[in-house]
Amino acid sequence: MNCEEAQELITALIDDELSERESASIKSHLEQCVRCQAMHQQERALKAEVRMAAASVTAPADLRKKILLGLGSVPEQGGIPKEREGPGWLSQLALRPVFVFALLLLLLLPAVYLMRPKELSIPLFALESHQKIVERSLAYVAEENEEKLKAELLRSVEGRFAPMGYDLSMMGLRPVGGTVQEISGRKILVTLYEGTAPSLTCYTFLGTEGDVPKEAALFTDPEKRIDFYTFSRGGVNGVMHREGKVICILVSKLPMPELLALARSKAQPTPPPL
Amino acid sequence: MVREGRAQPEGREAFLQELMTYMDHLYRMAFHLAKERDEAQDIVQETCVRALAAYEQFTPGTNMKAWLTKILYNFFFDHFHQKKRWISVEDRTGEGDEGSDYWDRVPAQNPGPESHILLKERSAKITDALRKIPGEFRAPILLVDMGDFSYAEAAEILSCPVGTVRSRLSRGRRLLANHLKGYIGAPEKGAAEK
Ligand SMILES: [Zn+2]
Repeated sequence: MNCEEAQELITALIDDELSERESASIKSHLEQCVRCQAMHQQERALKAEVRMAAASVTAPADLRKKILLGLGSVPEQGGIPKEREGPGWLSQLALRPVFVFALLLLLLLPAVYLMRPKELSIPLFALESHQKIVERSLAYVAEENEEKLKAELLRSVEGRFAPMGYDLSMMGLRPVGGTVQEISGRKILVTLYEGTAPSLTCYTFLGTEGDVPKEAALFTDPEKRIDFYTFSRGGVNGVMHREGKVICILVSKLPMPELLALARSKAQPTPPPL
Repeated sequence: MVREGRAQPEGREAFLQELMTYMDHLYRMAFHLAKERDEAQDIVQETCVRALAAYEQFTPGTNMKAWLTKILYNFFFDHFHQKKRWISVEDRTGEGDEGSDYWDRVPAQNPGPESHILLKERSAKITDALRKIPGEFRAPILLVDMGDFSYAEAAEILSCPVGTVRSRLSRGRRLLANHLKGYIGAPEKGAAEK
């Protein structure tokens, strides 16, 4: 196989779309070709970057309403001419009072209700996202300067809340970068810590105890009077607690007792200053 | 024809609820396909209208996201009469060289000060770069990288063979990278050192 032939297989390898035979052949080429190794790594980073960019585009707030309203009232104004199919099915819709009623009913329901069936819980999402960040399949901004990192994350949420900014140097961990993720319009600040202990990510977002996953176990710190919620999936542990309106989740492969002890030592009843 | 009596309000309501959960995804696809913001909104609205009109053809429990996305792409192709152009571009030659040695020219390094630019700006960079690459290469990137579709799903949406998705995706990523010099990647530790 030459490098030009390898290109497509590298693409498919990144997307996990290769047959066993193809996978074996590209892997053996990669083992002996530095140039293709670099291509592989760069293309993987590019994909991660595109995925991150995807999250930055969300439907404008009024689009949902417009869609529901538009369906109910049969828009004929400007926009896209419907030369190909004419008004046929539109008038069909208009003829169905039950249908219009259903639309109006939906209009009265808050968007949150509409989102609920598919909504992903942020803590469980954090466990998944941690794994992706640690594996570098999710892009983050490399920034080892703590202050700059904090400032950048703060700006990305228009200063509404700050990352926790915990100092984990006693564990041999220091901040190496961060990113912003978004679920159902809620922004989550992520700080990645790396060093001599297992990598750790800290997720910060505005939330309440309503965000606690169902399967979480509760631990109340008697001295600090803070509730900690612990949960795990696939060997990745998470500890969640609330500081004012800010929720903090520490995620790591550290054993749960250690992670909980860490969270307890760092948690404050009030959130960090902006 | 109106098929009175077949409509189940519960089913339609459930359908509409599920449809609304794909709004960000649909808008994202339209946003990156369209030339203007308003156009993207129109594409999504039209997609939803068409989806609801064809609601009875959708089999509950199957992949609604792919089904909606196919409606969106079909509308986009039909309306903007782009299908022919998208297919013919593949025959162009010569252009292929621009991307071939890209990876040689761009150092696999942290771009230094540029890594500090805001996430928003990075996303805007990607968006700009995506707009610069031809639609037939952009589409598989949107579907696979942004939409999380498999090659087979992307092929079904684009009505083309799976192999075409793979080759265009590969080419497309190289073209995209060409427009993103210095912005790619949070490099892995130690990767920067030669
Ligand atoms: Zn090679």
